[in-house]
Order: sequence, then structure tokens, then C-alpha cells
Amino acid sequence: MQRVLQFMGLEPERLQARWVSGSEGPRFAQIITQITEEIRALGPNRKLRDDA
Amino acid sequence: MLKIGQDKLPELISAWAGGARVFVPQEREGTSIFTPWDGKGKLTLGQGNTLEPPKDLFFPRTEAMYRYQVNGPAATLETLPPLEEKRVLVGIRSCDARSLLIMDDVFLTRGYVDEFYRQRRENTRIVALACNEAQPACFCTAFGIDPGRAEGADVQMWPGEGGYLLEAITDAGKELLKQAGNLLEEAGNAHPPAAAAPGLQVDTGGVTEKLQRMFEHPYWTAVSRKCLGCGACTYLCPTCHCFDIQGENQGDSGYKFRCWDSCMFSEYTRMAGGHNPRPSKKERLRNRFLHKLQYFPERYGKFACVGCGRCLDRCPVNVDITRVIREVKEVTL
Amino acid sequence: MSSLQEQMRTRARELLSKKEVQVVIGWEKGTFWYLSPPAFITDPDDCERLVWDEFCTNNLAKYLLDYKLGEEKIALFVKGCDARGVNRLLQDNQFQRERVYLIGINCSGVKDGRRAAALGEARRAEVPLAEKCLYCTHPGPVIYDELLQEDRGAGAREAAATAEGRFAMVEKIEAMNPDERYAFWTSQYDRCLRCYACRNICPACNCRECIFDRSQSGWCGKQMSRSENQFFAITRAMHVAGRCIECGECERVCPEGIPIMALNKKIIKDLNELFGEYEAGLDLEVRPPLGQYDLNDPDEFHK
Repeated sequence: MQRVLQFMGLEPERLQARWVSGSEGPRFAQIITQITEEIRALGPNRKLRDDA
Repeated sequence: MLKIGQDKLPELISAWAGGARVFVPQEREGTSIFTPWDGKGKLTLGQGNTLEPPKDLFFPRTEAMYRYQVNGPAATLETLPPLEEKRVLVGIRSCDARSLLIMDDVFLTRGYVDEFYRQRRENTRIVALACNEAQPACFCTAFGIDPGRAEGADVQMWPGEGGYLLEAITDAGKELLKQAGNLLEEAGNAHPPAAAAPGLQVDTGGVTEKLQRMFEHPYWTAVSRKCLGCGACTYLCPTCHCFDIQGENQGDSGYKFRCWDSCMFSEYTRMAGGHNPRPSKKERLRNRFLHKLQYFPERYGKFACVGCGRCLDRCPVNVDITRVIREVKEVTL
Repeated sequence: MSSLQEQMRTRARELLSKKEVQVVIGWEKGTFWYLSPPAFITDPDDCERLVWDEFCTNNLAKYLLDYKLGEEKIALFVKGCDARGVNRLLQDNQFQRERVYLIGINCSGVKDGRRAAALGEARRAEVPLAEKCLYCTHPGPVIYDELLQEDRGAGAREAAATAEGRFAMVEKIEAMNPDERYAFWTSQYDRCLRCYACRNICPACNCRECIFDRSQSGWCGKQMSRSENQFFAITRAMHVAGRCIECGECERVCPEGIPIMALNKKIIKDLNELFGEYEAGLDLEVRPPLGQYDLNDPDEFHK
């Protein structure tokens, strides 16, 4: 899926998938923080918008 | 009658573009399509019909109707600004010109005037181009359409030697030709060329009356076997005018829009409880033909087909309306 | 040996007369010389309608779904791609094998109807192969109950000889930068009318109810806008991932000429890289790469 998004010209980082168990709270928080930082670095998505 | 050389045509179109947005057939990915003229595109006026009809210019694929904002128990509606853009539609053929008259019947008569359609229609001048080369899939004459002279045009153009002949039909048309200034010359005693004979012929006489007695006929099962149930025919049709109204909501605000819909889709007649009175492609294909050849003539006194041939040309399985008309007339009741 | 067309008519007549099948699905002549659309024959006396020529393009496999809930036995003529389509449907338990009788045809590739229309009948011999046949890897049927024989004339060709360049278009797009790719795909899919011809002809699209027929579900709006059209493009492609048999019908039937196969082939190319070479619809026993799970599967998200 990530590869297809890349093929369509989108930043693949915007789609992420991770396995996190319900008992892995800290790991979940850490992953979300990490992804949030990555996305913030990319900036707002301007693609695939109707108002673009 | 006036004339203009082939090489001067872009200048003429640019002259019109001074006071309006001009839509004219231009090349797009190897096909011909009505697109706004910016002086750079490649004109495809002489290459038969456009892939899509100009329907979208009057009845867009998708258009917002109003916005809304919900504040607790109250809601405010916000109407959209009127559509004031002046437009000139250049190079429309007789078949598509007739289709606009058919759309007028739907959107402007019988007690309701569709404002979105009316504004676009009234703000658009029509410059028609006569057909002098037959296209294989055309059959406009079957509906009494003259490929050499379009109905409802402001200006009629004909391909002539090394250029085009032009004649103003309406006052608005005279205005357009005046705008062209000295780009146009007197054509003297030049005559418009003979109109093309369409590639297909079909006699529509009696087909409505026959269809009135054919709703339950097994013919519909047979003819719909190969149909894929896609909407290509209806979306490329210059007269198909069905639409759906839906909303796009985000939080407390959103907008309502209408967009094209197709009687070929299963969702088209599906009701809230899940019942679908047209459960299979048989009923859907039958509806398409009955609408064009029976219901519309009953209501408006004319067929809702103009013989442009787009549906049979682009149908993935060659469902051919001329053949359907012939077969309908032949089947035994 | 009689021509393929003669054999087709004879066999269809026999099967219908002996009531071994109730319907024969093949091709017949359409409005123009370059059109040979699908034909449905139930009467042995109607078999003269059947034709076999270079424009028998339509993949017939999908029509089996129209008979899914019936009792009839269907005889189906299958080229290489039709046969792979049938295999896909069988593999998805969409149809019972014993209800279909497959008559195989060694296909030498069909011709491009649109190019034929432009060239005119006088230049029939010059009409090029259809795009979908240029990179065909299996022109002969991979599953059949009987195979019609023909002396292999000038039209016959070896499969592997043309499979080269199968991913050329994909590689061309991959070589673009992200903004170019985005510009390419938006310019293509901005034209999409959402007529769903691509979906409806696809033998890999066999959901009982399609997400795009449920606009009230909120997944994909009915607007023909950039965002919804792109959502449609990506979702349709992903839904046939690992199941596309490369018959190219989606691209052929698109009234707007959108290069849909480039998307499908991108996914095939990626699946081949990730899970090993796989061609859908070749073998009933080999499960599609996304239809099975293995602990050794690559996982690009866990780096």
C-alpha cells in the first residue's frame, strides 16, 4: 500500500502500520510520538485535496 | 455570409475570448474535448465529434448547491454566488445542439426552472459547426436533425475552402461576428458545403408505440445479457440528465452537492429499506432505452437521443441503440 | 482442418443440441467490422452467429457471475486471458467448475479496435495488436475441457517472445520524481467519469457488493472530484492486488483512456519482488500472495 501511494506521488511516510499489543502502552505512546514527529516534519498534506 | 481563413481561426477565437471564456474542441491525450481556450491548445474542430458532449458545461458532473452551518438547534443556509461568467461554446455539432434543447425541456419547463442550469445556459453563446464528413457511428438524421445546420445556435459555421463560412442567426450571434472585426471577410456568393450523410441509418417510426407494449417482453433479457452495467453510455450521452443529491459534512458544517448519476447502477433505484425495483441489468438497460425512446417522447414530444453515436462507440460490449430500435420494431408481441 | 470459427459453431451446436449445456458464450459480429462483442447462444440454430476473428477482444469470464445463482451449465470459449479469468473466479469460489464447460482457443493476440477504426477496413492487415496483448505471457488457455485445433499460421506467436517490456510503463513512472508522479496520476484520474466500466469487466472484481455502490457508507463520495477519483483509483487497484490476471480489459474499456494497467502492473511488480514471482489465474492450487500468510513474509513497516 505504501508503495502504491509512493507510485501515485504521495509521501509514503503518511501511511504507517505497526503491531502493538494492548499491554504495550509505553511502546504505543512512543510509536505515536515518533510518527507524529515524522509527519510534522513533512508538513501538511497538500495533495489529493479538492481545494488545492 | 462571412468567411475566415483556417489560419485566422485562433485569432477569431481569441477575439471572442476577450469578453468571455471560450470553450472549443482541443486535443487532450489523443482525443478531442471541449476545453477553455488559452491560445496555446491544439484545435480539433475538423475531427468529428468530441469524446464527451458539452453537457458538463451546463450541467456539471458535480456542483455544490448550498452550504450550511449548524448552531445547536438552529441552522443557517448559505446560498452560493450566482454564475455570471459569460461563455462562448464554439464548434458544437447539430446533434449536441439538439441535446441542449432537450436539456432545456428538462431543466427549464413544466413548472420548475433550475437556476444553476438557467444561469449557465443564458450566459453561453452557441457557435455551431456543420458536419461535412460522415462519422461511422452517427445517426442524427434518424431524429430529424440536419447535420448542416444546428438548432438553437447563435452563429452557424460551415467548413469551407481553406477556412470557414459563418452566418449570424440571432442578435447575439451578430454581436459575436461584430466582435470579430476585420478578421472576417464577405464570402460573396460562396455556398455552404453539402451536409454529411451519417454512417448509420435507422427508422424510428412507430418505435415509441411499440415500446409501450413491450415492458415485460423477453427481448430485454436477451439484449441485456452482454451489458456490463457500467455507466459509460449514460455519462457520455449528451441528453442523459439524471443526478443525485448528497451532502459532504464535516463537524457542524458542510455542503450539499449534486452529481451525475446513472440508471445503469444498482444504487440508482435502491431504496432506504434495501428493496430495489430494478434488481438486475435487464431492468436497468430497459429503463435506459424506454426513457430515451418512450417516456421522454410521451412527456416532451421528442426522442431523448440525438444520434451522436458516443454510447455505441465507447460501449465496452457494443450495445447499439440503432440495433435496439430495429430489433424492437421486429420482435413479435 | 476446418477454421476455428467453423469448429466453434459446430461444437456449440453439438453441445446445445445434446443439451449438455444450456448457454454458449462466445463472440459475434457487432456494428462495425472491427467489433466482435460477446454473444449468448441458447438455440442450436443460432450458432451461425458465432465468429472468431482478430477483434474477439472481450474477456468473457466475468459473465459467469451472471449465472452464479442459476442451474444452467455454461459453455465458454476461452483465450489465454479468459481462461485465467475463469481460474480466478473458481479460486474465489465464485462458480462451480462442473457448471462450466471450457472450450479453449490458442489465441494469437487480438487487434486494437480503436486503431482499426482509425485506419479503415481497407488497411485491416495493418491493424496493430491490442495493447493488452503486447505483453501477454499466456496466449493459450491454462484451463480447458477441450482445445480447438488450428494449423498455426502466420498469426501464431510464441508467448515469451513478447512478454518483454511488460513493466516498461511502470518503470517510466517510477523514474519520475514524486511531484511528477502526482501530476501524472491526477491528470489521468481527473478525467475519470466513475462509470465503473473498469470494475465491471474485471474478472478479479467479484465482490457481491462493491464499496463504490454504497455511497452512503461514507467511504467514497459520489463527487467526481480529485480526491474521490484518486481514492477510487487507489482502492480499485488495491482490491485486485494479487488477483489481476493482466487481461488489460479495464484499460481497454475505459472511455477516457486512463492507463489503468500501469497501476495494476505496479502492484504485480511489487508483489513479485516481495513474495516471489506469481501470475494470477495460472494454477488453481497456488494461492495468491495476499491470500496466504507466512512467518517469513517481508514486513516493510517493522524496520
